[in-house]
Amino acid sequence: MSQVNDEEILLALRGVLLTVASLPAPADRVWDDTYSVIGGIKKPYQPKVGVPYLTEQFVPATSVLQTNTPRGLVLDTGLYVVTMFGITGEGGKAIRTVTNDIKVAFKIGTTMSTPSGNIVRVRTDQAPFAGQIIPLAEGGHSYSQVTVAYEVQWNQ
Amino acid sequence: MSFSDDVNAFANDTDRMLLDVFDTTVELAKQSWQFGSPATGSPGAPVDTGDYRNSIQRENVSPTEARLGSNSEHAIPAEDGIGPHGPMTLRSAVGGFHAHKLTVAGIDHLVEAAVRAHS
Repeated sequence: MSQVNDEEILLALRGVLLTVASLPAPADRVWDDTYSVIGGIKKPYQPKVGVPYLTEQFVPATSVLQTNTPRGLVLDTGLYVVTMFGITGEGGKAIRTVTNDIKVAFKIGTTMSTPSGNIVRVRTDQAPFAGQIIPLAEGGHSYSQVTVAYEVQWNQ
Repeated sequence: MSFSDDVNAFANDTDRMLLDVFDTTVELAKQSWQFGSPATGSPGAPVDTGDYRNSIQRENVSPTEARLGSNSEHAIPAEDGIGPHGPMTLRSAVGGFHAHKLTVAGIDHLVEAAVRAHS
């Protein structure tokens, strides 16, 4: 275990997300809440009427020293928040199918390895959960948000 | 003082400390949601008019049960980071999205802090 690297944690979490077969098309996945990749090029995403899309937010939170220094064990925690935007008026099933699949992919205790040897784990004290489906006032989309609480231990 | 008196005094102290730790934990959780906390990583509620942050209130249900809640129409958009048009841009100089979720995820750190404060 070595110094934790947030970018590696994010990519590990995203790797699990990408195993979900029911996600929107690749061009309609908004990474880090800022861009999508269209034709291999990063571009700001503009939601399209009638097209489902998905965003991810990586939210690092706490970092706590658990054992003595200088090589103390540190526990980092944070959230990985995935928001699925479906089409208002088509029923909630399409949205719930995706959010359920995401919850299955990130089931409690799921572990992911990073290139630097750290293990990212879906927290065992908090299961991933999905919020209610909320229609947006404009644009014809409704959304539901899946929250995954993760932790990673490393030696400083 | 008898042994029985000692045990009763210990039990009373323990009960009082339990209530103190509970009360402090709830206050720390409220502060984490409203103003942020290094213990939870919560950024606190974002502020425009202050309506959302000021709407976060504590309701005591019983000596060992309390509710924190908000009745602001801005609560869900500010929590999820999703507004009427879709994903929002954070413009508040303080606070951020997911303040409530981060507070819940870090509640064990708040309990630890409350225990330390009363030990």
